[in-house]
Amino acid sequence: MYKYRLLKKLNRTLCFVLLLFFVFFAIFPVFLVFINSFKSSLDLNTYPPRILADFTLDNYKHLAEDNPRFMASLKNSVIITGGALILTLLIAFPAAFVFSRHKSRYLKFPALFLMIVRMFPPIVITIPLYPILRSLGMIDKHFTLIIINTAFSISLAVFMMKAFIDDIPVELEEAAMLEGCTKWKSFVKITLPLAGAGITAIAIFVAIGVWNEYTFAYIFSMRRAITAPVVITTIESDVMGINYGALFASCVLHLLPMLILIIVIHKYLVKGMATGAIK
Amino acid sequence: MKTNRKTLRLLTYVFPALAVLVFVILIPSVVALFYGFTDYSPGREVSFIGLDNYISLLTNSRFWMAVLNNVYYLVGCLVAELFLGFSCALLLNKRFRFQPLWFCLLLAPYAVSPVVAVQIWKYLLDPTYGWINYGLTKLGFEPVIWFSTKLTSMIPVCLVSVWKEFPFLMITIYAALTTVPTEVEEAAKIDGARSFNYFFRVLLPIISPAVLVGLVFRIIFLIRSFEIVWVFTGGGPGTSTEILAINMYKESFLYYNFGRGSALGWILLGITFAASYKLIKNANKSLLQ
Repeated sequence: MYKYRLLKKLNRTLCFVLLLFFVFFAIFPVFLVFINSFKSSLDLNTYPPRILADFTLDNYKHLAEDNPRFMASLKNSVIITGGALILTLLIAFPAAFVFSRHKSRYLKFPALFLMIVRMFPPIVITIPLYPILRSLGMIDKHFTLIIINTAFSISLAVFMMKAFIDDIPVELEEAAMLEGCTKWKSFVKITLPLAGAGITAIAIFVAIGVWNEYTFAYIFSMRRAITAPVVITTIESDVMGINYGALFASCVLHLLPMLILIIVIHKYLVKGMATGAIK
Repeated sequence: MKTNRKTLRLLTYVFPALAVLVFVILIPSVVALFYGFTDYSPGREVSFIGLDNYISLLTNSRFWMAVLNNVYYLVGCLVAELFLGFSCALLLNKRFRFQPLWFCLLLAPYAVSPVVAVQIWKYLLDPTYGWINYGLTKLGFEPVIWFSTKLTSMIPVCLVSVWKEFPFLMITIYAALTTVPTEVEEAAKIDGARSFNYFFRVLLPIISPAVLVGLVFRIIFLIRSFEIVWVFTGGGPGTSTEILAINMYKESFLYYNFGRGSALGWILLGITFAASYKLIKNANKSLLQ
């Protein structure tokens, strides 16, 4: 009996070590970018590489002062992510309401359409869109990227929202309707606040997708609406050779907000998967 | 008459979503289908050439190489992601202390943009002063120059892809595991099932439907993936990492063969639909319950 218990404990310890190994694999590259962004370029170019070196804020200072292009692109990313997020939520919410609260065979086709469109590879539509947008003078505009990103976020947002709304009992709304509210009004007044946490999670999920988006920004923007991911791909090639300091600092500025947000919603991710919403 | 008005009212709620999707995705896709049958190239006259684009693609060795590269990339990533996803999910399910911390740390790569992920790994994998080769030489191996041969140049690309995307399968599997009641494990243990048997005979059959859905999604995304490979290698060196989406991008935006690019796009679309057909069918069935 004692031996069995020891074996079990050993097994559990082994599992824990294994878990730590995977955690290391996942987090080490991110950790490295963080500490490297605080190293001087001299320390960055030493070989063998060193984990620790003198702390400096030079990289960030350089980025803010000498690289207006990156700062502008960060602003563009904020505008486009914010715009696409608001538009997606505004459009997805009524649709999720109808899919969740009404059963009608006329809704079957729209639901199927939303489902199928999610499978479309985004890169396919870039070819026909390019000449169209070009003739309309819509290339390199914030609005263009906002609307395209919205289109590719809607379907996911609708189905996730539907799953969260399904969890809220409809009886509460019915009580409000007895008091004289219309169905939509009682939905907005009663169910919407209850679904608030779920909708926050969806909003963050959509924001992460748009913030990290590269392909459309790369093809449909040149200067004025260029986003941070596109600029990051060119930031390393400085006049003075590879400038790792600026690169790491820009990477940190780009990934930090989303890292914080995903930690905020990590619980909902599992819940969303379990209910089949994110799938 | 009354039901018609009610239906119309219901549809107004869905209308904005449908309108955006029709204008941004459906119409351009149909236009692309049309382009696929022409020799369209910006600034030149368009003429209808029937199935020529498709025929020349299907007899083109570069296209088939892209297909092969894509299969290599897909299988490599999928196997590694599945292994990591299962391992991490099972380990998380053991509920060690500080569980949320480990979960968040494992989740971190999922929030990193593909572009940033590529930049990080490019630095780590650098042949002359990267960390990976430094570690390899410390362990007594020869440093690997990843992009020197066709076979090894896909490895770094897959590595970035796996690192960034394994949390998706991890969450899927972990979420499925949390729905398995604890009684199941207890019953199996009482019946004397070893952990190996328990996993393959009891656990796997319970969670496999959910895992399968996650897997199909990964397949769809790996077929169409573009960003990571494009930013990392641009399909090179040579054409050793040129997968379908990159082939399509080069065909259209580098060589300006929009017609051929569109035909390729529709082949991509066709493959995606073939892979997701059952998924759509099942989802549609359960959607309006």
